[in-house]
Amino acid sequence: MLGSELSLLFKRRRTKVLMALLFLAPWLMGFVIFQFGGGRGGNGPSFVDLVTHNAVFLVLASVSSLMPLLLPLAVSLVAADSIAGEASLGTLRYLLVAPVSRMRILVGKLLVSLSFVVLICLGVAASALVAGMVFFPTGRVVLLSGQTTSFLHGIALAFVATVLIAMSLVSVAGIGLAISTFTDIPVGATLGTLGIIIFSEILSNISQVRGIWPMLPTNYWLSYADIFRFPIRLGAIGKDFVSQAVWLAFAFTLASARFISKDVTS
Amino acid sequence: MNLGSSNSLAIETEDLTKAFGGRNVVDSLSLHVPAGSIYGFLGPNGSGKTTTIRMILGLVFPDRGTVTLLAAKDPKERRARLSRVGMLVEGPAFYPYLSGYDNLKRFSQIALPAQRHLDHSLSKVSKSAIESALERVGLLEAAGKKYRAYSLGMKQRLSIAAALLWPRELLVLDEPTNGLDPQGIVEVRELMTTLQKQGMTIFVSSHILSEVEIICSNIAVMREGKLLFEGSTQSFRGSLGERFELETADVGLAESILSGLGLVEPGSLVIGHDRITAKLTTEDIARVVAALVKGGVGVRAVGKTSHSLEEAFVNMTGRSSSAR
Repeated sequence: MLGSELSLLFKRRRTKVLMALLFLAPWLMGFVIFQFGGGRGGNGPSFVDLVTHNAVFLVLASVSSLMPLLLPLAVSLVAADSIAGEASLGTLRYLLVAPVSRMRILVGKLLVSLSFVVLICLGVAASALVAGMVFFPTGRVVLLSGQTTSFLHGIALAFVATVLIAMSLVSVAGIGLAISTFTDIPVGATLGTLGIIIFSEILSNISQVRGIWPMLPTNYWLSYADIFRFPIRLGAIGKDFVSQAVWLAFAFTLASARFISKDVTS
Repeated sequence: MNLGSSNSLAIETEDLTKAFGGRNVVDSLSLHVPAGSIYGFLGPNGSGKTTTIRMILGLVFPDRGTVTLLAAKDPKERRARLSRVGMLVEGPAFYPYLSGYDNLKRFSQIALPAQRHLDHSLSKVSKSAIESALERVGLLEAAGKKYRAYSLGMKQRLSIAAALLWPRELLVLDEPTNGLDPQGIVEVRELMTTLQKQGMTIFVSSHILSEVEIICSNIAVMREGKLLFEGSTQSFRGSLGERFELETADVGLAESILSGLGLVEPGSLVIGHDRITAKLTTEDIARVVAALVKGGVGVRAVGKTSHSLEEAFVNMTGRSSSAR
């Protein structure tokens, strides 16, 4: 099932274009910084100002700039297509009468979205690392806490940070799947998912609602930067892990409750 | 698990009811589809045929009533039976960005692991099985073409090919002739007859009586979610008052012989300049022809007037909408 789902995803031109654009982004960013210099980034761990010092930081600069919008967009395009896409094509009824159980379809689709998350994160990181090595120096890496470490160790840290970013996107995949069981229109499900993520990001910038921050799926999205400190601080990363797990569990429960009893009329 | 006796039912529904938006789309429907039959499920568009089919296949959950599919009543068991049911529900649906071949491959990949889990007798669908299914519906040459480039008729054929990927006991075909040209309609009818002869039960829905009536052994007629008729095709024709047409040079003599036999309702006789049409049962027509020949009337041709049958069907199913 998973193999067939993955090949279905990657045979689609839309997926190829999406991935090509994502993988091209680090090259664009690297080239611009190479030409015009890093300058000072805004607030938060933008890493942009560090890129000219070391190739490793292009990985972080790329993923952190894609994080707020483009990565969630890519994930919600795929996740929201899970059920709504099959429903709009009408293929959902043929899957069900094949017969494939509804639970199996949900789990299969979720696994595809999660694989896609991991793949695009690692793909962007790998592409950024190569671009970084083309444009920038590759010496010892200066950590955010001031110490230095070897280039290889820096790459390993960037890899771990990428995995943590993929983990942060798990909630997007879950929410996309859940919304996708409520509509037959894939675009609607994508926009709904993206809307929730953007809304969550907006709320996490309004201090008056500080009380609900820990409940937001995007609240700990910047925790991966803590990997570049020594000693590594795991507090926020741990909280992100719990937050993502809870959101995924909630979304999947909602999706299955809805889908198991849904009249398929598409 | 085979259907042993010849009088068993492939599909049985009891008191099946489903409401959408407060209106009963299907209302206390009890169907009995004999195993081995070609069962014509007729009714105008919007009469609840597709919703019924969706309930039989487990896509839509009934508000009330039960479905028994290939002797399985429990929903989980019934789902397992679906591997032995081929279907076409509300038109073809495939992935536009995959070729015809890849679509069937995806379908068999996704269906078979699930089926192996449910039914160990099924083996893997091979490349040759996909190709022979495509060949059977005349799509082998277009196998590598993207589905989005297919014509409506080709799309319809592809979904029939999907239903033929592995052996089935039952085919559920929802309007299989939609979008086909006359040649295609004939081909689909021939295919249904062939498959039925191989032992399959065929449940076929249509809103056009004449497209399926010729091949059906049983017929059910729906109107506004309710069953108007269920029975053999012959008794259905009888209930519609099927008309026969006689072509003869001697209309006057033929008329007097016909009236003398007392088989024809007096009002149903229509006299033309070289033909007579009358409401007769299939059994009586043989007696009428014998009497005419005996009486010296040269009978040039005898035939059913299918046009008037279709009209009677439209009257039967469309009655209430004209009353509104």
